[in-house]
Amino acid sequence: MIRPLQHSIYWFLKATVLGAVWAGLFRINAALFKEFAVSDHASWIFLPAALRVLMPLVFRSSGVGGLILGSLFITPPLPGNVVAPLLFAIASGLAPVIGIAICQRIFRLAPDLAGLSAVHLSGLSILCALSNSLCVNFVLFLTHQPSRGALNAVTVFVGDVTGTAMVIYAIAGLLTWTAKMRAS
Amino acid sequence: MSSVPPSHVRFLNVLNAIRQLSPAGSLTADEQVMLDLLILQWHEGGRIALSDLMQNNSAGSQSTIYRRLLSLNEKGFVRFGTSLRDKRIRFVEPTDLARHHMQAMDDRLTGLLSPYPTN
Repeated sequence: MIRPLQHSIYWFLKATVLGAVWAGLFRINAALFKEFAVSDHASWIFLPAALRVLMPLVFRSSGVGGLILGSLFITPPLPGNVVAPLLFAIASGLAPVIGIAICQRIFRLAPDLAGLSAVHLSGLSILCALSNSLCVNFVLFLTHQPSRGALNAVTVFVGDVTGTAMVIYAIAGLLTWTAKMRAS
Repeated sequence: MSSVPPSHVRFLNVLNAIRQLSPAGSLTADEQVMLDLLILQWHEGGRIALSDLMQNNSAGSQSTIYRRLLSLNEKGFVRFGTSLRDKRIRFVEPTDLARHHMQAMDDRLTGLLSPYPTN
């Protein structure tokens, strides 16, 4: 009886921390690349998109929970504006699930991601960006918000792919640098 | 054993995939040893014939040496050239990536050995 409760608390804490990390990177992105923002929901460079790929990949359900909570940290539901933030939060979590599921079918990824390669990561970032772009624009359509049509969709897609590439290459550089420091 | 792979295993596999984006960082220890051996031989004698390399027992069996060379070729550090006079003779040649790797090593060593400023 206690174990499932402990497991749930641990899951929620993990999701909260991941959500806070996502929200923090969102704020950093907004500060660094505000010139690249096209609207509240679209930017030509969006660094947190990398977490949208990596968090569900590594942490599975708690990663998805973290994305949903992160979105709610940024835009919490308030009296008079409840539906839109909730829908955006759900879309934020659902989009990478769709992208990862498609990739797992195409690339036959192992559950423990053994054999994951740079090519798979590229495919994941493109498919997650595509599904996020479609989900965001669908939510904008459902909530009757101005969406700027194709421009918004393209911006979200390009922003997610660019942001993911920047973060992943930064991590690759950091890994190489730390390995060289250890070797010297 | 749990059917859900633990997070740390997935995390390490993701890191390995990310490492592949940085070619120098993705060399295994055996590949690094092979590359070091090639660097020494390029320095001594210029072109290295693949047949001479395969007879070098200190580097391992012929299949091991060939496997490591193929891996270095895939990662962009070596290419296989052919002799103009006899197309059966193949050479192992450095690529720009290998030259850059050698230069980077030289720069780091030079930096280490440079005299410290005196007070």
